[in-house]
Amino acid sequence: MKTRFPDRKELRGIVFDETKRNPQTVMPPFGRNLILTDGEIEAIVDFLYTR
Amino acid sequence: MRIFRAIAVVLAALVVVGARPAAAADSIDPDTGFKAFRDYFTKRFPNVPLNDFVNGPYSMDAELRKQWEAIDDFSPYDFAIDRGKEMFATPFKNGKSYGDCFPDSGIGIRQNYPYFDDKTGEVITLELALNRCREANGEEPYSYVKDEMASLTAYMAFTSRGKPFDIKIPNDPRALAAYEKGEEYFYTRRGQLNFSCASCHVQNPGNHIRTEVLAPALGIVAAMPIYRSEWNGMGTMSRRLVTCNSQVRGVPLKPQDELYRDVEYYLSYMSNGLPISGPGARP
Repeated sequence: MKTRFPDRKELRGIVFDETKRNPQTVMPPFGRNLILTDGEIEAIVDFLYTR
Repeated sequence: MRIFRAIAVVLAALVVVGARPAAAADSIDPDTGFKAFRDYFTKRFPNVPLNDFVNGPYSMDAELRKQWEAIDDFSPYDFAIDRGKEMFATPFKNGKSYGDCFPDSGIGIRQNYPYFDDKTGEVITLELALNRCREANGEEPYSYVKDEMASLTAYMAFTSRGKPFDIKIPNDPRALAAYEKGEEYFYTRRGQLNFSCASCHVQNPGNHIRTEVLAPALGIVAAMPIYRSEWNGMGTMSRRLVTCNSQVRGVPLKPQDELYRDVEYYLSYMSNGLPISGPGARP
């Protein structure tokens, strides 16, 4: 994951609202639509970097 | 728990890329839309026989199909067929019955619904026709989502099994507008989770959403009404649409809202030629 997304901001942006990068995605815009809090999004990004 | 579910969705989304059957030209052309829709599914699932799409998730997943075939010896919707048959045979207080409201006494006609009524300029679904029949005969309408309505439509579907969908869109601007509005609703994202109907049933048939295998939009209407283990009972097309909207955390329309009828019209037209398989059973 670190090689794919060296910039944490980019990975965080995907979780926050992937429709910006890929309008076809079915991933819910977790940040934009207030599905998750900022803290929860940071925790997911932390988790993703363990993969 | 919520956060872990979110992680699963994020991981899945990193590999999913979607597509939509080629959009129609500027003028409304159901025939072109039909061909693009049909091509999309048959090319994406070349090993699924055309008539098998009506079996929804079972057409997509061999293991699920085995489980279904095992329980189908004791179909969970049988009680609904029996009850619907009895209701159909029981006269209203005025002596008339459901059969008097329908062509061919209502037997073997499910494949012709919904249809466009050129007198009122609206789409008439089977569920709407049943309640209008009741009201015209001085009876209270039923709830659209389950129970009596599911039993009646289960019986009517059962008498029509194997008959190919035969939905007509007359060359009437109002009918074409209904088709177009239905298509637009189907492809429009909504709800906090930002899903359109197509996000699941066009982009991701055969893929899992949590533990469920998503059904293809092609033929999805043919199995209605369905017994769903998740519901612990029967549900109509209306129930399916309302539930889908709620599950994406959107605000559902009222059952049989004009737009829902337009969606059913659009989807049924897309399934033209595929056999009625309802009532169905789904996990």
